[in-house]
Amino acid sequence: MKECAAEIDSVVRENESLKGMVHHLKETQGQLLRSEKLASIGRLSAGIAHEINNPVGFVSSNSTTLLGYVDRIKEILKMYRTGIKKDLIDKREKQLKIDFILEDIDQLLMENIEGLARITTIVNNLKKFSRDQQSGELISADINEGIRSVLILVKNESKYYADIITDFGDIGQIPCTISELNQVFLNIIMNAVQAIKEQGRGEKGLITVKTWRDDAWVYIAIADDGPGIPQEIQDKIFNPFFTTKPAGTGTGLGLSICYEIVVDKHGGDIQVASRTGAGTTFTIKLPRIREDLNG
Amino acid sequence: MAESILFVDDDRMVLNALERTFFETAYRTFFALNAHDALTLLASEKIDMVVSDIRMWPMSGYDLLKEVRARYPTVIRLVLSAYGDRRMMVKVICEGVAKIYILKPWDNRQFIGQIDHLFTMYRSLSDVQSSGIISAEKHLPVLPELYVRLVRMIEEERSLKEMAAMIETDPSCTVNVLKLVNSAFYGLSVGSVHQALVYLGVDCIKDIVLVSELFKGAGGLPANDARVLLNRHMIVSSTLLHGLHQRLLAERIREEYSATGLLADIGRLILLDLQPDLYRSMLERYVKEPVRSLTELEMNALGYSHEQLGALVLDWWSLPAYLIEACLYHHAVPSAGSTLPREVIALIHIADGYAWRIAEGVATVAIAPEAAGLFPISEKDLDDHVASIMSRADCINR
Repeated sequence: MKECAAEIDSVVRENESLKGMVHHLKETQGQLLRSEKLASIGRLSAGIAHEINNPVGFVSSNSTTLLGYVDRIKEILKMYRTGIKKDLIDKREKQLKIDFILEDIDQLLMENIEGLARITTIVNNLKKFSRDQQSGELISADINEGIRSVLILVKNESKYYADIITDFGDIGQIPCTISELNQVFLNIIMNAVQAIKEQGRGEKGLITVKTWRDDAWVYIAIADDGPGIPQEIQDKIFNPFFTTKPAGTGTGLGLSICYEIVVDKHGGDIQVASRTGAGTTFTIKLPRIREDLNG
Repeated sequence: MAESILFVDDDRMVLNALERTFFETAYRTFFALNAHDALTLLASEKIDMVVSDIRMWPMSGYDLLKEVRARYPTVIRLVLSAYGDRRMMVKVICEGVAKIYILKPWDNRQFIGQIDHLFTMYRSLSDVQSSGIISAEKHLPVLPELYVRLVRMIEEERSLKEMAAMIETDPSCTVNVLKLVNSAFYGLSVGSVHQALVYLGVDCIKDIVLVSELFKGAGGLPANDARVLLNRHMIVSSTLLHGLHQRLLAERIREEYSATGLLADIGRLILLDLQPDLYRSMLERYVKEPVRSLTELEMNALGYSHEQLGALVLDWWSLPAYLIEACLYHHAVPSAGSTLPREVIALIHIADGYAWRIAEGVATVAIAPEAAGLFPISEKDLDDHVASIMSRADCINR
């Protein structure tokens, strides 16, 4: 009897410590997920900084120019108001190139407005991409919309190396954690861009993103015409810490986290089809209805 | 005829803004949306300067500027980029692909000022060159091989460890690098080349390698008194620059500028190689009977100064604008537009003056009021700072 109680005691203790370990592992996993999200944003940040600093550059330069324009217009206006002889005003207007300024001022303002719109688009998409949503919390969202926001962010980086075309089906909304799925799309598309970039071929590559659905599933296929993934490592790419990048440049977590988000968290599936030299296609399927959660 | 500038950027609106920025200046301006158009313009127009973006398709600005350097070596090259990647900046400057790397957004007036300044600088250099007194092809030293190898490693993005190992294959250079870092960089103490690279960065170490190779003298000439004097003078100047920067500007000198105190007088080292007897006697005269400035002595005897010679050689080696400025202006601080901040140029001048006074006993060296005037400090306080820096540094004793 005593022995039995002692055994139960030790089992309880072990159980407790196991619980603690599971909790600890879950926490670590959450941290990894967050850091991977930061890493994937980091991959984009150079492109985004470029895309923001260009419009900031010309908008701020134009604003300084505009200040000079306004000073000159004020000077002429003052001359008119004080009733100086018209021919003197004309002469001064010529000196100050008022005709040119009046012509340029509209154009300048239009360009500034477009510059600000460009910045706004990027900031909005960054917000959309990283929308605050608890991990595991499912909210109806439009996958096409999510991919669109990812593509706008990716474009800054990709446009020098690949054209991206989309073929969006009418797939409606599905219950999901859209910010996590966006991370999946971002990772796969950025991998494609990087693979094409590293090929260093003289022409741009092509990436296609296609969505469609059947009764039960929504499908997303992301295909590139890059170098392809060698047969012998295809079954390893979803393993944690598997990476082909030199040490220090990648966490090796990208695709394993994609797998976890799609399969474990959304009850979906992710498949890869690839031939060396011919390109790679990732196909993701996600359930349209989460019966496992309703039951 | 006014100088002409070609701007290259794949963003039409950036070009429009630049066109407005330079509208009222005397420069003739040209604009291209890609590298191909830029090269076409370069072939048909007389272009003096190219200002290019980095990220462009299909040919990047980096490749364009390299091409420009190969085809039109006299065209001044600048980068104006929204892409602030530090690796790219170091690469562009280290390889001499561009003289200055400017980040967007830019300030209109400051940008024009920088370009005005650059053209002024080149005009004064080309005066010396076209006078035929110095002919680059005939007399000037070539870049030390170790330095060229180091720059190639930076280009190839090799690790600091590999770079340290490469430098260490040359024992005399290793000794010199460590000596320079520990004696000329006030307050720093490193035990290995790798440590020096970590502390100071490749940007700075490559300049130190350059100086240490030049310290050796042309063709392995034996060290003489004049060379020892000059080496010591450069080290003391550099120590004072670092110390004064920390005290008067309340921060460490920026990494990429930290070898400017050493490099500013590089023209003197080269002069000593070009005209050993003449320059040695000039130095002796200067130290013994210091009545005039050394620059004046040089101008009278040679027709050019060590400032001009140093700047010319650094430009010939495709080194960045801030190093050329350190050479050219450390006896005449420019009013505005330089890439190297005026305060730093002024401090190089002050440090150089004090180094003559303290280490060589040339009591009559004058500090230019426009340099000292940049700092709200009395002459007495400046003397005290210098004395306290020197008492802590051990650079005189070696």
